[in-house]
Amino acid sequence: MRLRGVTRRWGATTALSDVSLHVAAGSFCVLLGPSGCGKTTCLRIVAGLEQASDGVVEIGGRDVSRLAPAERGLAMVFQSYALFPHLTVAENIVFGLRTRGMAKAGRRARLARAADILGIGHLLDRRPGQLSGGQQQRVALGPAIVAEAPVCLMDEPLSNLDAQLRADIRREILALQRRLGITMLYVTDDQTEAMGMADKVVLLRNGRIEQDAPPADIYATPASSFAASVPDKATTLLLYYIYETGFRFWDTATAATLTIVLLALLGGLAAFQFGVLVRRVHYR
Amino acid sequence: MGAWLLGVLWILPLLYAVWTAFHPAACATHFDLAAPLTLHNFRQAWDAAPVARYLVNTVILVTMVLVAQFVICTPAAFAFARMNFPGRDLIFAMVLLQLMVMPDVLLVGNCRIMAQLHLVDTILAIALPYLGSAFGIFLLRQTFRTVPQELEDAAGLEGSSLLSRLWRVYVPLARPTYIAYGLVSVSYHWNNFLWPLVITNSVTTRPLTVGLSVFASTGQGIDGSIITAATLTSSAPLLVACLLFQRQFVQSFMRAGIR
Repeated sequence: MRLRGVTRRWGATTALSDVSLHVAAGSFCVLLGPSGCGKTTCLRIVAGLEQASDGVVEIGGRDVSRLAPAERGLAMVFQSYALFPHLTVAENIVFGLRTRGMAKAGRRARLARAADILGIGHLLDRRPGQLSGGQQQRVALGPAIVAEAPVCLMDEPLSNLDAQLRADIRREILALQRRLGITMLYVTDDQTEAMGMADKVVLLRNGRIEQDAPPADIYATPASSFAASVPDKATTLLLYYIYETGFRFWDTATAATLTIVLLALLGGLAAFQFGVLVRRVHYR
Repeated sequence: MGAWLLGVLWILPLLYAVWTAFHPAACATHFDLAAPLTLHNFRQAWDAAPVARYLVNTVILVTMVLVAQFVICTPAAFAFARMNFPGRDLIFAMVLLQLMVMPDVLLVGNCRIMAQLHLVDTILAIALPYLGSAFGIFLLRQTFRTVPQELEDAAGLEGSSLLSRLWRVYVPLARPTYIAYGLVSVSYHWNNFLWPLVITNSVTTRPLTVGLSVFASTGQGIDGSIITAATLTSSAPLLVACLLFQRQFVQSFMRAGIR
């Protein structure tokens, strides 16, 4: 999947400017950035739900910029799960297959396989309203699996879950992506998610790409102060806070010294964390 | 307690109608529990007026109006809710303006149009002025706007065409609104009197309301028992439907937000 100079404007405001990126087949790419940075817009443009003002979207070497969403050969998982409340789980999952006119036997086979992969066989006859948040999330992956599309887009799929579930499902999504060899474009504002899942992180800010690199590189060699702030925004805030407090109680020099000492300490800590991260990447 | 009192007050006329309809005319005004029950009044009413024909006319009328309203209002409401075209809000405001025009004001004008269309004294003529409903468009538009955009996007990604998205996503999700609106529409047209009275003048087209009034005023004397029997016959279908589907109706009204 490749984006070339994709730009999106509404009147005077520019939501995306000149975004170019490449996602290798079968790899996991995360679009990371604060809310309002254009990452969801970018995803919707790739899906064809919105038109780019400028630029080209290619999937599998084919220019799909002018194609309807359904003709682009991709699946999408939405932030709110987009499950039809009036259909059962099974009907929800095969909805797309039905609209594409697939025969009943084929639909049933794919449904059984997806239910098996997701472990939701016992939920098929329920309606979305009768499921817990985690179950809904799992069901929401169903349509994307049965579509057997080579490309999958996910828009903050874990943002409505609690921490424990988030970690579990994150692992499942990753395993699924590896197992089915899907090319994944995944949007999130959660740094841990991005660092833990991605083969490549694309950092967006104010509609521009800030850095486009594997997670370890973003950690080790950030392209800008913004990029540096991403892996450990908390650290930066802490330093700032300490400097401010020091400044209020003592003079500037003391505050600066204190901050530098703490910075050194935290640097050591960061190095340790980086080691952990590298090990985690290897482990994965 | 207050609710019970109101309920009793409200149902008294109906109970009285039932009483008179099932007893001989002589017993209509003194409530003797021992008075003999009879179906005589119903038979008389049935013989005296073509009640069956009126009932069929009303059912045809109500069905025609309801189906046409659903078919016309659904795409209009969808366009106002989810499509972008120049002048949308202006046109919608004009549709809303129609809500403020009393239908009775247009009586003469409508009559003239029906005459020009050679439709006077047809069931279609009774229905025609009501086929497009501003209220229905407004109500459905509000409901469609509450459907999450992501659901439509998802259906679009799966290859649903515009019409199938409307049919498969919006219509099922708006079902409570359809039921509530359908009920309002059916009861309104079941009870509508003035316009059908003006535009019809034969047995084959008159709905129940008009038929009954004709029946009550000509040549029958004032036999309360027969009139109430006929009235009960005419309102029975709606009453039975209301009792049967009470729960769904109440729920629909709660969800659709009209009372």
